[in-house]
Amino acid sequence: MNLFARLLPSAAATAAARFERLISQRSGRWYQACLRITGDANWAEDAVQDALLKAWHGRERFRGESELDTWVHRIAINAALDRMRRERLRSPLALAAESVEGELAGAGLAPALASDLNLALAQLTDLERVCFVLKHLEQWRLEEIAEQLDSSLGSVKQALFRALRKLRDALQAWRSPT
Amino acid sequence: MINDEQLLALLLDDSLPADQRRQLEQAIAADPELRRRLTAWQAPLRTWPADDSFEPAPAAAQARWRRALAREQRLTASSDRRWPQGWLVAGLATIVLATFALSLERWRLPPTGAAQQPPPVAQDSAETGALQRGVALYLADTRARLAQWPGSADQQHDLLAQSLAQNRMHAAAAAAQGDQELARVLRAFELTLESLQAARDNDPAAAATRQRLSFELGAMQTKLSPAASKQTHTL
Repeated sequence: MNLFARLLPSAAATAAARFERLISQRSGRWYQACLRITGDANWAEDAVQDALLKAWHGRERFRGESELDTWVHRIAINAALDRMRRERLRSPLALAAESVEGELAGAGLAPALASDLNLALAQLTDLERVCFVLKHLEQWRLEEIAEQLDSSLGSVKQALFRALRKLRDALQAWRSPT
Repeated sequence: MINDEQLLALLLDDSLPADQRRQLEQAIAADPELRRRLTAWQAPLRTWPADDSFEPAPAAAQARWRRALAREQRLTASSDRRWPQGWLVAGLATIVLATFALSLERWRLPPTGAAQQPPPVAQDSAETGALQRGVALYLADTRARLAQWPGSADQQHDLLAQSLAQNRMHAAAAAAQGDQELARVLRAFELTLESLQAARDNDPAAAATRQRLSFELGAMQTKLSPAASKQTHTL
């Protein structure tokens, strides 16, 4: 057996172990981001799977787990956005709070707040929700969002402003006293 | 007078010019009513959990991703295992064909011309001809397999893994023989095959890629045919 063939199994095993650790520790964040974007658990799972498989095929490119984590996260979001674009013709999204409760809102929240956050997101249109999630929760720049959504900067701003107005109304009860 | 749109822009618009942002901030700092309105807009943003607080993905989803990755790992391992074997087969085939070509040349030479040696180009031609015939067969075989695209995902991945292994073998053989053009074309096929392997089973883009690949394989087959028959004639 040549040197190349001998090296491969250990390299593949190391990569497999790295992927396994990341799935255990970070997949919740990838999944949560995709779920917030799509509002659909199956689509979010598909998006993460696509990203993982792409990452596996390009595994030699990543220097460390942090880089791989960032890359999978970003590709999973892109896959979720692609899925949203493909399904654009379907009826407006109706996010079932009971089916995603807790997962969508994040850990450590009171169940009532988690439920209200889910309901608040459900009141947004697809575009409003995606813009809000990418801007506020994923920290994308407006230009990036507009480019990714094939939209204008103005449309993205307007969608964001509408989203925040709706969220303010929906989350009125949770406003901290000023 | 500062309106709500401007306050929202301050919160959300990262493309807001610096001087406008500064003016807004100064106005807010000087006006308690503006500060109250801004705080009211910030409230829904503060409600969301911090970036690093997330629950684990559902166990079923994690299990599904692990299965998908394990399948890819198996396929990678199997195609990697086949690669050196393929090299061995290609090397042996080349040696056998080259020996056969040399024997044939010697047999054709008149016995009185013992000092004459077969021209060195004959060996190269024999090897090149064998390689091109091998590639032509591989192209035809892959096209036939793509035409009968299997229904199950496992069979699809096996088919692609086998095609990838063969493709790598032929590309490496072409490069070893100095046929850089053929090696380059085969490496381009490798990228397409890898993208098909990474694509989801029901991805409509993958079907279009398969069709395009099949067309390109056919074009390459046609391009190789006259060369192959010419080499056969020379042999």
